Amino acid sequence: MNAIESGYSQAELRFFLPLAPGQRVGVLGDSKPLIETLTADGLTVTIISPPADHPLITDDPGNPNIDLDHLIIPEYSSDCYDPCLSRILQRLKPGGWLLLGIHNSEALFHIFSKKKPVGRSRISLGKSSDLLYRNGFHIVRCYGAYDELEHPEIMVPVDTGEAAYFFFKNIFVPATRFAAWTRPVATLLASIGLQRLLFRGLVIIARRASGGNGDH
Amino acid sequence: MITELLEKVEHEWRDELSQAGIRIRPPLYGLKIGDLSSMNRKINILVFNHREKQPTLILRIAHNEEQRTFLNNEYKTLSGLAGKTAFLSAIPLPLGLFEFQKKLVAVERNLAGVSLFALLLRKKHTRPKWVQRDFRLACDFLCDLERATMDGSLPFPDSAVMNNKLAQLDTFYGPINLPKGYRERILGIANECRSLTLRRCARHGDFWAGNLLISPRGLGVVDWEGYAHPEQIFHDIFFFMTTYSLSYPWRGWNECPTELAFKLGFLEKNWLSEMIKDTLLLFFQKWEIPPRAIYLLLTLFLIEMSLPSAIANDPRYPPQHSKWFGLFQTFIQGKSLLLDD
Repeated sequence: MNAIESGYSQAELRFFLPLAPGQRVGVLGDSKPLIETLTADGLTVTIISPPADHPLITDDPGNPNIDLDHLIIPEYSSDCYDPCLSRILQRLKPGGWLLLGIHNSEALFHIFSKKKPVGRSRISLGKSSDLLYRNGFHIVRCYGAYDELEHPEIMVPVDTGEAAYFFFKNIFVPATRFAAWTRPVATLLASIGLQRLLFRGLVIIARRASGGNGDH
Repeated sequence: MITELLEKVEHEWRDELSQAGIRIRPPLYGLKIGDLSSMNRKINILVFNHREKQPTLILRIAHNEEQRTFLNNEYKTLSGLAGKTAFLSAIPLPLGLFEFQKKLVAVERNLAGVSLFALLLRKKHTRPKWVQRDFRLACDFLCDLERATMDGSLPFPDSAVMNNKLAQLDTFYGPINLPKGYRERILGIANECRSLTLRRCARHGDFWAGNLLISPRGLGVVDWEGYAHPEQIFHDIFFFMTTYSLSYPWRGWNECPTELAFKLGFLEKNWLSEMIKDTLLLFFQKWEIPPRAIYLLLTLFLIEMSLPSAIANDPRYPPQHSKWFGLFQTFIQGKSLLLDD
């Protein structure tokens, strides 16, 4: 898959949020096709710079504006979750929707992979959920991004195991002999509710509580 | 969008679906299928009832005028075919057409099964016994489609048609370097076959392994947007056989170049090319179309696929017609097994 295509696949993340023309959407990072598509759909896009790795050197130390109806973070790769990510989340209006892509620290893939990717910090779904909860969000859906968060080809609901079971049984096409061998294992794991271990990237769809500004 | 659509299914469309015998059990889950990178394609979402391992519905969403036309065509086609016994469990049952945020949404009952394309990429169904079974399923389906939609006959393409098609290729790709004696041979076969006729019936339009779902119940066929009637029957069978040859894992887990895969399926002798040939002979036998005439029809099919008009507004790059032109050139440079005495 080439670079243009990968950008396009991130652009399609917009289908996972209830966007409407005229709304303000914040995008973390510089996914050009995503930003162009959102603009073409009649949304006002605010580009948010990725956070510095330490809260003391963030470029926006004051209270953030609460100005966004939606926030799309295709891939959060910083080690600074709390308070950096929390600060970004505060820009979302009450009732606003969030799409947050994380590198799944619990993915079984990491056991077999010799590669240690630089600049990609991993976090578990549990820790992300805690952080979102503390910031006044509730999780609506969670998807497994196949096969990579940077250019997801397919997004599989992982709240329960059925869709992931179906994916590995009916849709999944292995690219290597090794992946073919692991398919029955993946199907089995999905059938017993361990589907979240099967995806390197997870995409969380969450909504900020309607009352107050969400601070706890 | 997915969240709102699932809410629509759960609440607003639920009664209509229930009347069609579809049970909705929330919370629903949506699995968006198809390549996320294909921005200009229609959106397909599989809908799962809570705690069910098979999707109940598929939502097909058209977000521009051209896609609306295709989707309407599919819905009308499926509605027409759904009443016929032969297609009861072989096509997606159309359940409703809805407007949603200026998009057209077709709701269809999902067909069970794994696509033949996915099976081939998993290196399954690759042995002769399985290939023969899959070819039989595909041919039986096309025969059923032919029976259900036949309405007359068409003249066999004559030398004027073949000359005209070759001229169109010349116009688009520049003068083509045809092998010595090729044009004469083709026109000679066309003259031999003047007295033959072809039955006029419908074509599926995108009859390739990716749209054929294999399940214990048999074959299911999806994606009816390219359905056309009346048409020549040979388009579907040739499209299936050529794309099958390109999808077949000739080199196991290593990639096989497109032209080589085509060559292995149609020009070189091996068990699969023999099986492709035998299947084509058998398929056309009931119309008493001889091998040389099948060769001519296959040539015509490859020429038509090589022209930009074959796939309107192809979003892929490079456009598919140039790939087909490569196959046409490979075909005319070699000796087809169909011409073996």
